[in-house]
Amino acid sequence: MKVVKKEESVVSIEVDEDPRRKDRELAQENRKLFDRNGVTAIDVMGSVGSGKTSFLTQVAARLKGKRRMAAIAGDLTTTIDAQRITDAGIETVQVNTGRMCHLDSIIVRRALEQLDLTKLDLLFIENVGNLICPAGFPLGSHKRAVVISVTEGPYMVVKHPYMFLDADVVLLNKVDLAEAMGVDPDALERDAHQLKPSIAVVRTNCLTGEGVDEAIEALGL
Amino acid sequence: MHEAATAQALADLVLRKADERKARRVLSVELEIGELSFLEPEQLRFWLEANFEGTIAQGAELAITLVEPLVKCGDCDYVGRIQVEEDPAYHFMLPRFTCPHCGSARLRVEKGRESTIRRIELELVGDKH
Repeated sequence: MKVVKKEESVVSIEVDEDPRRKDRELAQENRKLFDRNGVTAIDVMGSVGSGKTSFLTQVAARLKGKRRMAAIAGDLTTTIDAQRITDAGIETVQVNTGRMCHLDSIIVRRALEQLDLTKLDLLFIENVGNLICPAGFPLGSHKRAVVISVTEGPYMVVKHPYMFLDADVVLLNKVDLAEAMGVDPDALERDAHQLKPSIAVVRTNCLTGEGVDEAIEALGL
Repeated sequence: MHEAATAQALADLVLRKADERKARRVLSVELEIGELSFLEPEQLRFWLEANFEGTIAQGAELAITLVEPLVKCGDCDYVGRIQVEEDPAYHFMLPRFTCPHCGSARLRVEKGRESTIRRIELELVGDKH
């Protein structure tokens, strides 16, 4: 710490500290914890109602008995999502964020205390329904999936480009409604690839399960 | 509302540093905010001022500097800005998360996510003129 004396009673102190750096360091620790226990962690992000929970219930149905799974479900106030995932057969830790618009690495770390990682292969972290804030907060997950749906309109990708910066897979959900919504899924897919060519885009209908196998494959699960 | 939480963490940091020096007052705070931090400077200012109210940092001058994102390519030597293209179809600027030199998508964000207290100015106790 450098201290510069300006006047007798005034000092200028170089601080050079970022409180959010701790968040990121803790995310790295979370990642190490996952790796040590052979757990693959997937962060699932997307707006409220895009289909994050439906996707997870579909995944649960497909991988049950093959992989040992658990989920952390973040929500502002309700336990609806956690209940749905639990009903689908995945042990779920409910996290109510209160007023917070995203999960962060500290919340995830606390939730992990309720899980036995040695007994898991896969951990799904369902983020708070929000297409902006979660992007700024790494959790330590191995892959990040973004669920967008055609009912959110044709501009979901271009209006929220930074959501896709660290994402690996985009689920383009509710494709069965594309025509009714007048939304072109090809255009949404093109937008995503223009933004980030390496991103995988999978079209899904998480109610019927269409495309879910492809999404599981795209996530490398 | 993550400005509120971040502002609280930043304010705690400033007040802790001031306390370590047994300062009487915090005169100014220099803050660097990355454009990829998802923090809105004016909201952050509002919340910082709210956090400083009733403390020795009340009324401190807040200088917030925006830090432009800097990315590093994993496949070539490129270090620089994120490519931005104006898309006439959408009437706005779209970032492209690819290397402008080699087209690689293996970009790492080197700068632009920070919320750093760079420097603070303190008035110390007992050192009256």
